[in-house]
Amino acid sequence: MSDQATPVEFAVDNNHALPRLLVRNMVFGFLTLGFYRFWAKTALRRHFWARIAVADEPFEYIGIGRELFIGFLIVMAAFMPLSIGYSVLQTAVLDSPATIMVLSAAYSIAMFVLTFAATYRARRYRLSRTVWRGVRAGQDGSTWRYVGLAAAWAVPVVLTAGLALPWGAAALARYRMDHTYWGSFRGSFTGIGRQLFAAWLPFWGIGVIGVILLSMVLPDTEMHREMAEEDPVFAYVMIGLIGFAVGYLLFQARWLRWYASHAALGPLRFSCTLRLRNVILYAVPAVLLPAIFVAVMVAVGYMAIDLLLKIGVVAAIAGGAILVMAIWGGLRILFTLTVYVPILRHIVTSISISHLDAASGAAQSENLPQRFGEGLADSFEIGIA
Amino acid sequence: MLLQGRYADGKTAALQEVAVRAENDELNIVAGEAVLVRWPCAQVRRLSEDSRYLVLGLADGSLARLRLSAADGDMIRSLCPALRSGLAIDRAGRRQLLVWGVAAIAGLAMTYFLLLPAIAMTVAEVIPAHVEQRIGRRLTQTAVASLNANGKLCRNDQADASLAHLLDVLTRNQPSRLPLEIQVVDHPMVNAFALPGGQLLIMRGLLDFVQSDAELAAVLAHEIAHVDARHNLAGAVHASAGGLLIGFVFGDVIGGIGVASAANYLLTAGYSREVEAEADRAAALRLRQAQINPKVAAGFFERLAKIEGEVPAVLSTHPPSPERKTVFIDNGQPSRPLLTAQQWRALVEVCRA
Repeated sequence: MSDQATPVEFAVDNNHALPRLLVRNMVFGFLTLGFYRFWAKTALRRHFWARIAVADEPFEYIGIGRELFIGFLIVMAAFMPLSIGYSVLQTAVLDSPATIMVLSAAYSIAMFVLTFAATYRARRYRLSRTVWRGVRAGQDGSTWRYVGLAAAWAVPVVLTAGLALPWGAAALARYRMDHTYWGSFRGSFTGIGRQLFAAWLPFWGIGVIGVILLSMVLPDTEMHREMAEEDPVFAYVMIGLIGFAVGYLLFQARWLRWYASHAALGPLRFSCTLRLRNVILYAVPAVLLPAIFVAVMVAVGYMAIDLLLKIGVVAAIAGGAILVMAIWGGLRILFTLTVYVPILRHIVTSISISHLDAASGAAQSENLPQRFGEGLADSFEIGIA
Repeated sequence: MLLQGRYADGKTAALQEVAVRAENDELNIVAGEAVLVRWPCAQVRRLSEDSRYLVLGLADGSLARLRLSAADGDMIRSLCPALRSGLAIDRAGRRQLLVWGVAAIAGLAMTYFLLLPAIAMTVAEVIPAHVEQRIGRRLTQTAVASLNANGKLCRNDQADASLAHLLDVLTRNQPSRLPLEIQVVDHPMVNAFALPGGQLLIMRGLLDFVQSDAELAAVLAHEIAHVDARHNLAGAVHASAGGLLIGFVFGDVIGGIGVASAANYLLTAGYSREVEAEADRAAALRLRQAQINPKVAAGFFERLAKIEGEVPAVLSTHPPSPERKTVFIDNGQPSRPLLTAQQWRALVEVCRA
């Protein structure tokens, strides 16, 4: 089967382990006022990693919740003075537009750096806790060099109003894959921006036209009002937004195919057959579910608070808070089961690996896994799973 | 008894088809005829089990893995009855957890309870008066608009004169930190607010509720105390920074936002009770200086507490009324009218025109 691509498997959850896990996470999160989230996230990852398998061999997540928790404690210590400093400054300069502008610019730059640094480190942590066939994955390279690369590419991307994005994305993908390893197999990436450009151009063009049209329509309030009376601008905006979302998903699917087909790990090669039509079905529950829940929440909330107010203010506040949390938690669980998991399955199973025979040649990496106390910031996490 | 499985030794990714035998509380992992490795049952850990696979590993933190079919789960449990679950990796030691946990909690508590109020007050003090007044005017516009959809203020020359006279009585012997600007909002709430920059707002509901000009003067004295002590400005800094901090601690998981805002409310309410008590003390002093008997304030706050209903002490943003009574004590000063009957009526009826 040396030249045959082996598809990645995503196991069916036969014994309802996931719903049980989600409910348990919700209850514990509830009882601990949210502090269980680090262990909840870890349990979810262990579940999903174990469901994904290649050639009958499941992945394994070996991270533990405490690592995330300590990472959080440390980030909190660093974040505290920053957040307080920022809000104090913001209040102090409330009156001067110039200083607010300077402050916002500084804040945006800080957020840019933090976002790229955090995603790079989160990827490093996740890879270092990922094991397949008894061999650990990992990521080396320098976070700050990665941030520098992102900053350098941000200039042409901004100057071309986003047109240069494929080249920037390719440069970052190359850096990430070049510093990714699984055991003794080092990653590489051969994709170039031009390959993605054909997919990016229509999306970018539609986006630019949309922005131009919007900027022509919206600031002119007179025209806006007239149009609103005659034909609904709102409907155009909605159609535009939906079109934008579909276009974005199309591009994402194209992007993933491009990324996978140019990435390699040692002799292992990847390919991806993701098609938008497989994923877009879930847009319906993705939109409907929150809408239904908000409606239910409003209705139930009104009745409950009305009832509770007759009992007392404290009961009303406590009851309302519990109700909101329960409904919010239920929404998340339903969303995970009906939207997140099916989309994840489609994405995962659209990927195939070739030259799998060569995988036996991978030895455990000589890089030590990040030890506690050194790679603390690795646990600085963004995102849910 | 023989089980079939796949073994990875944790050194390379090579997989071996193996058989597993139990002997003397050990799992012998056998490839062909050779015993590859012996795993003592006490060291074996069940790492994961789903409908397809049962994955076993060792408690020593190595990455050697034995993958069996899920159907063999019961068999393994009978071979190794004491089979335990989960990773035994203790990368992040409990001691570090304790150290960082205590450090984070101590840092948080210090920041919230000591640093934040101090910073808030410092920031409030360094803002120059003319900047504070500009901020105050803008905030007042926003406040009026949010209190009353039409942004409706009640005013006429007579009522303005009455209010100016009351403020004059209160500040004649003891000037306020900033010149005061006062407005009446057409809103049924029994309340008054002090905004930064000497901006005072009183609600129509308050004018309907007070029984005398002296009671209204007492409320104004309390609000002037907030202006003098820069409470509003400091409070804004305190609330926004505190909210950020708490939001971060609780995260966004499962209604964390609700928990965060509730926690912030409780903590801010505590801050607010202190600030209100301070304003009460300053108000009592100002009333005495203006030759008004502070006991009118005690009576007013007692009646107010009755209509507002009993709010438990921790939830309340104001001091309990028995406590307020001890601040606004009777000093024997005989009551005197501050406004003429005509001035008073013009003021009370300012929203009914």
